[in-house]
Amino acid sequence: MRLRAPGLALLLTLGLTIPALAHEGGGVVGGFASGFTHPLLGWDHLVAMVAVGLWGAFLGVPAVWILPMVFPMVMAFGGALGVLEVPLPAVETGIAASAAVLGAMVALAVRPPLWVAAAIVGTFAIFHGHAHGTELPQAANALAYSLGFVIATGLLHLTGIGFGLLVRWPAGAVAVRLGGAAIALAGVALLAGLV
Amino acid sequence: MSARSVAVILLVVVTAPRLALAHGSIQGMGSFYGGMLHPFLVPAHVLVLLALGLFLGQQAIVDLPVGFPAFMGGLATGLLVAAFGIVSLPSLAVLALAAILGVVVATAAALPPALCAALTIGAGLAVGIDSPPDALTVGGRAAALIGTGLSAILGVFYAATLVERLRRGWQRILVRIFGSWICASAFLVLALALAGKA
Repeated sequence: MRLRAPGLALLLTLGLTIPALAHEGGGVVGGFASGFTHPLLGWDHLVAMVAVGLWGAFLGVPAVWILPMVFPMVMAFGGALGVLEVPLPAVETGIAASAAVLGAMVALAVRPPLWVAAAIVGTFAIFHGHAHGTELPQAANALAYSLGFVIATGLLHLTGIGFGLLVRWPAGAVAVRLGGAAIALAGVALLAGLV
Repeated sequence: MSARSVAVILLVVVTAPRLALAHGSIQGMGSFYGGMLHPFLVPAHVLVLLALGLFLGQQAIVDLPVGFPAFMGGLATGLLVAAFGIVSLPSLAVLALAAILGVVVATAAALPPALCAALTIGAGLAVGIDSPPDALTVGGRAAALIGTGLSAILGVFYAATLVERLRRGWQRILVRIFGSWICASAFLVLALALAGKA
């Protein structure tokens, strides 16, 4: 075996290399961060989540807490379908439609029975969950990723609830319905592929 | 094999090793403190312990035999099993318990005492068995296990007593929402594992 200085230098260089961790993208922290930002960075998820909270606040107690509680649990079911690669047709269309429909519910002041509202929200949650679920296997840490996106989803609901609580004042009710209309328009734009 | 070949192989062997980061490395941390941090560094353990704290507080059974004492008994047994390496536990069992406890908290279901005890003991057992110590010496292993047990007990106790004192309607609802989040996260990862992708 003959190895000269350049070969030795190359071997030494290769042996001394270490991973570049400039952004600490792996592990629990990276998994949580990527899961947390997933619903925040996609307009389709973001407006629909806010709409769930907004509609809940508009419908009042107990919808204000039942809808945001139903959503993550049914979303987990949709996520499981995504993980198990159970095909679900028109996932992206379903997500965009969720913003359009939920926004329209607020804008038009629709007040269905609680179980109907929960069923509508739950149906759309399956589409959102499916989209998250298909991305879960690529996560650095699956549990941290799922915790991140569930918490971010809950905080988006809370944002909608916070704005929706304005409904107790006449001017606030108008603002909430306008907010619903804006979300519905965003959903239509997503459906039309304009965003 | 020539001396040069041996030198080259030695050079590669010496420069190739990397740090073993199974649980993250914190310089200067002893076995006891490493054990204390363990339940808070493993996401599945954090989830099940938090869910158990919410559950005990919500059911108002912290000071009953089926509550906190049952958890301590289960945890102590589990840690002993881990100490002697009698059996290992699939980490999915911890997540499954977190998902079940999350559903119970989210629905605020009133469970019979026997079921409460079974869930509480099960959570303690699962966390204990799933916390085998890394230390090489007997003393180090014992210190790590004591640390793990102590921090798990304190974590559940604080969460449970805090939740038990929450009386306002919105506070009780917040507890249920946290339960739904725990259930959703655990359920998704369970599905991932069942699909063989975890």
